Amino acid sequence: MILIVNVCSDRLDYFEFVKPVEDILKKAGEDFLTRHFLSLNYRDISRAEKAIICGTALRDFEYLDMIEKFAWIRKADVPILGICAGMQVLARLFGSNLVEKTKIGRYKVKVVLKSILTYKNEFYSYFLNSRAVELNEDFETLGESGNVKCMIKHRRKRLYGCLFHPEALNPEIIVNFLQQLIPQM
Amino acid sequence: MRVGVLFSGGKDSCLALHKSKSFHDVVCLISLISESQESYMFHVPNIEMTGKQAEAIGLPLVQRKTEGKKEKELEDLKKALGTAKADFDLEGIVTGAVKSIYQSTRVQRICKQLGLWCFNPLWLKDEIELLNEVVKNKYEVIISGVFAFPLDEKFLGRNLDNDMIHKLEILKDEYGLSPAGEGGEIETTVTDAPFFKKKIEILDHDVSYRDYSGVFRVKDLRLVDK
Repeated sequence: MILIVNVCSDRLDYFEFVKPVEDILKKAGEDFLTRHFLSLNYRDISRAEKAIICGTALRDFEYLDMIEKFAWIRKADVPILGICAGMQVLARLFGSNLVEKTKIGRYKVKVVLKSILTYKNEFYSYFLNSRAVELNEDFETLGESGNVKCMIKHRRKRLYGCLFHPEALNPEIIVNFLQQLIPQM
Repeated sequence: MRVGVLFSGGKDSCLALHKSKSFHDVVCLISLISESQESYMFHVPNIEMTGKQAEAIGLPLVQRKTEGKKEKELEDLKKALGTAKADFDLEGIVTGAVKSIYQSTRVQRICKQLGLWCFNPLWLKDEIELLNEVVKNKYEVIISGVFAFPLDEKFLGRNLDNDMIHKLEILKDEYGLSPAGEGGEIETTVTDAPFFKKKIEILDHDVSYRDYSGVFRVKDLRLVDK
């Protein structure tokens, strides 16, 4: 079972940031369970084979104020993909800094290190963020857009992050993460 | 939260309004009337009807004209949203954006500049699922514009129902047509929906059509009790 984590503080945002990810999983034939980060329990977490932490609206920062609600990720031994806010959660949880940086729209992503997420060397993706990350040594950069590190991996854990929204223009990145068919370089 | 809905009178903005009413206090509608037939941002056929649609729904309408030129219309949109924010004490805007990165990017940027939340409850929604939701909820929707082969004059003024969805699904498979018109192939006008307090009865119309491009224009209408 894939655990989808909703971080939206406003319930209307579910339709914009969570449902599109659910739809990709449905099309891929994956069994999934969606939970809001404030209502996650031990049973949900222990059943998950993988997890995806979805994004949220530009003005929504509640998830950052409650970062310890994601402490379970430090102990989790399953692959996790963080999308936008989800990537910020992963970075913040392991000590990286967030900085104010707004990027809205379609921008080119240059892959700087191959990973299970994509075969491509570059692609266009949709960005909707008002924070970027200053990575510490726990993370490596997989992709950049301009001077923004927008695709990352934890060096020791199977934690991946996309600052952009792959569900909009690059659903294959989510499918690649789920199916893990591309070998790790 | 007090929100305004960016409203064209078509199925997408109506469905977005419908969804947002369950979570927020919708206090006004906002329409841009484009003077260009090739607006980059705004639905065109029967946009003048939004005043009557707003009356039928029972919400005030903030209306602003725009020449429909590429970046100028964004300035007009910003002014309209700024006016709506000030007049109705808005905290957020709801749009019916489904697939257009161009539209969504620009509205998100303007909302960011104005300090408004931006909600897009139909974002990336499967188009057939969207059409089915409209029909299942008993919306009365007419096709008011066609702008792509093989959509011909016969589609203009037709109701969106299960048969029409089936036809559009076939055209999607055969011609790659976007069934909900998200590439601008089809425009729609809503005359009734569950949140309309009165329904719209079309009394007179005309049709202009040439080479798979046409408009069903409502010339006269009245509001009737439901």
